[in-house]
Amino acid sequence: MLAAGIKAPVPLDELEAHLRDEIVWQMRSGIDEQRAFEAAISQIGNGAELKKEFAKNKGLLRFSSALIERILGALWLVYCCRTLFLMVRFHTVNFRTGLLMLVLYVAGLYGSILLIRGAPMGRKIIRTIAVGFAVISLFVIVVDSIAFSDNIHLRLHTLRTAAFYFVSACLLCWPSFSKPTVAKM
Amino acid sequence: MIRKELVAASAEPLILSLLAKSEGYGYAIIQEVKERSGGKLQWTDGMLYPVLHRMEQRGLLKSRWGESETGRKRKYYSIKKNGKAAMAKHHEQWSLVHSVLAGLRKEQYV
Repeated sequence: MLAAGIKAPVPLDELEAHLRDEIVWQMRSGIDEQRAFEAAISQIGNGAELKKEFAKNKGLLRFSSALIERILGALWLVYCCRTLFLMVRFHTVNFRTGLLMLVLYVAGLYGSILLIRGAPMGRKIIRTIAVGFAVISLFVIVVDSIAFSDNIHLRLHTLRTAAFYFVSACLLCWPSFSKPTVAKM
Repeated sequence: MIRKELVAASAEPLILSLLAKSEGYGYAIIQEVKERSGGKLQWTDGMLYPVLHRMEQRGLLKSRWGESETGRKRKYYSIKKNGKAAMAKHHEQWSLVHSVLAGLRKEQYV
């Protein structure tokens, strides 16, 4: 396996354990150690093919769906927590709008926890929340743009909302993160 | 012997279904599939491991290093909640394919 270029310790350890199990099993049926070893090696497959299959995982790991989902979930969580904190602290909105925002951001907190815990993005609930967030943040960006001013706080607010819109749009547009790769057996 | 494409397509549902029963390791998974299929479903042994790793990366499985009966290091896999959901989906889809095929086959004998 080393000769085939599989160098990572985890696959090597696992393949070695597999070979040992197979050798023990073969020897139980009366074959001598050398022949049992040869049989196990031939059964485990071609080294170059195996390397190719493990290499697919490296690509997956780099853009690991689970990791991306968790990062997006964490961004949602930070934004929802911040907005809820500001709402409670400064009471800047009227009761009806406040109630609507409260429901939406609490749903956002729930969605972000689901994402951080590894729920797939395609889940209906996450996509429903993402639609809500995308619509509202787009609305805020448009309103902010109309009332465009030199106020640095307003510009920062628009920027934050745009980032939030981007994250929500990502959650809507990339449901194929968890798409399985066809196995070669 | 079963066609290569079908063997590859059935790998994930079989692994999930086996691990839903109890925690397992690569060699045991291969042996059980071999046994249950009467030797007709044969995987290239080494190819199972990249599949297991991919399923772990996708959040369907989790793993831990443990010890075998002889004290050697061994990696055990178990199914996660997402894995159970994926397994249910696989069962639903394979059952549908099976029922369509069975229906068509029945019609041929009518």
